[in-house]
Amino acid sequence: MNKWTGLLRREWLEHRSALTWGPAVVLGLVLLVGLITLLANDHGEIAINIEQSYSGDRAPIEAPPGDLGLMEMIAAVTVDVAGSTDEELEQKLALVQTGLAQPFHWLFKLLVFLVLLSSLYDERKDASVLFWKSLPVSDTQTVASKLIFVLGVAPLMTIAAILIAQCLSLMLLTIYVEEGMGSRIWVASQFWQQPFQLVLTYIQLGIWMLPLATWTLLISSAVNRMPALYVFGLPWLLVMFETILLGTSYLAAAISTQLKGWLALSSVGGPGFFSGQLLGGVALAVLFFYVTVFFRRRNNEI
Amino acid sequence: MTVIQARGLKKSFKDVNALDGFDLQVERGRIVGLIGPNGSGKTTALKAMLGLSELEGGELSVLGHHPMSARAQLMEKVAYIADTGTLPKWMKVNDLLNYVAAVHPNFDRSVALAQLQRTEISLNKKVRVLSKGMHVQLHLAIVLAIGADLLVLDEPTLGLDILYRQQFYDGVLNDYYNAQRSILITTHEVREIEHILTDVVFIHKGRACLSLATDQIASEFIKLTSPEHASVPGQPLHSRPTLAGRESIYRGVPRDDLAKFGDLSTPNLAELFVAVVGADSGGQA
Repeated sequence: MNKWTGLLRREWLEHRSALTWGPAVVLGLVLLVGLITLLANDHGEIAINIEQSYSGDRAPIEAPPGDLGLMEMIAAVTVDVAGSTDEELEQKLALVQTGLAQPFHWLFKLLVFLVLLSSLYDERKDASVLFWKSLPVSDTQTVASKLIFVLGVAPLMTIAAILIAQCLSLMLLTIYVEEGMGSRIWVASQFWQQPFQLVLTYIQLGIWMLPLATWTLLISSAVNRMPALYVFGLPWLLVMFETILLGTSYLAAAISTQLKGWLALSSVGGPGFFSGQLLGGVALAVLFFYVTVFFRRRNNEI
Repeated sequence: MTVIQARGLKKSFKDVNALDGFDLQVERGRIVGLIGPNGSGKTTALKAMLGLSELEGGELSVLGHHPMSARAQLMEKVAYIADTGTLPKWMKVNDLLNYVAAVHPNFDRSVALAQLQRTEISLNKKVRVLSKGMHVQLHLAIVLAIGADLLVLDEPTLGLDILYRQQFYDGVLNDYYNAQRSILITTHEVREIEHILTDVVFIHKGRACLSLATDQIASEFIKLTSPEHASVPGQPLHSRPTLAGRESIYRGVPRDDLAKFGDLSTPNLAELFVAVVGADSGGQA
């Protein structure tokens, strides 16, 4: 095992509970909701919702995924598969796939924040920083390993959970729909493209998250108490300072752009992927990274 | 070869001078005891030597490296145990060994396993469930398996019972030390390391107030036990009444000059510490 494998494995060992149990619980909940939906639909209850939502089971689906409930999305597919055109079925299934992934995306964003917030703070709190620093690993390597793990390795767990959820949901649908229609479900779902799509999505998400991730790491390495308060409190104070004293809101706008970038999880290659705001965020992340290394070098046990 | 070269180290915390021109020189193959009262600057000095703390002045070189700017390279040749249990409590013993093996080019896992076989520590246990004694044993097993040129021990046996303390120093001496390696130890328990030291440095108020080889103590310091009211010429470093009369410690006084006033002996390290630090404080301790 080489040094980087060891460093990433160390991160995995420290955070594996959160990174496995979190997606597993969400997966369980999503499947439970899907199952209940299908069973309920069997009694005609969901069909009423669909009727209300789309004014008919063949209505084109135009609403973005976020505007629909998960149950409605799953139910949308189960209504009259045989009567849907291929295009309609693809639309409906895309809606289901996207909807299924949403809880996992949110969980991932939360885990990234929590893992990074605790990483360089907890090691100082329990004094283990003295042990880590007694080994030939530089502060730059340590900080980089935490960032690479959270944005490069941890997403694999989430992607795996999403794929399992999507696969199982398609299997449930296959069982549920009329005989002979199962193959149409799998073809229309374009399930085999999902892994590549998700990997690209998480690369994009990781780049958008870099400023927030490195800012969280910076605070984790710098403060001696209540890091979460500083992560949100300092930007808020700076925004207030700018608004009250200067009468401008550049900082608020910049923060808002960055947050929208990763909160929206827009489609890969969509507008803004290589935008000025994103590149500005990456530059800021580089600055935050080196400030984090500086604090990691100076600060020891709390 | 000089392993540690420190000249005029300075470091302050607010209004307190933790290091105030501290000097230290450690040669290869020596076991040096850095001894001082609480707040004397021991740990600050060690942290500076290990690249854990920035200095405000002075020159420092450890194994040819500037510790703060080349800590990672330095730690390939230095092993370190701090005064508190610092092993990550969430890790299993086996994972800990795997991690050190992955990041440390001079770590020999088989040596660590051989050390652990002498203990009751299970590889599948998490560090958090180990007793304090086991925690120290595990840390020692890891450190002894590192082929380091310098071992730094900062109050390593603090809080351990006497049996563990004895085992600890026996382990360091028998399984680690050789002529190519140096050891720097800080401790309050002067008596338990006295027999293993080759050199001693007393630190007080951030300065080294005594630095010499232990085999020079007998030629430089004399303890005189005399009747209470004996009229002894010269100024002792330290003097105190005892049941048998008075004990005084002299520095650089010929033995013949003192022999007629009572019994002469060599002061032990604890007595010397009290005498030297007391004198450095401007009075008798």
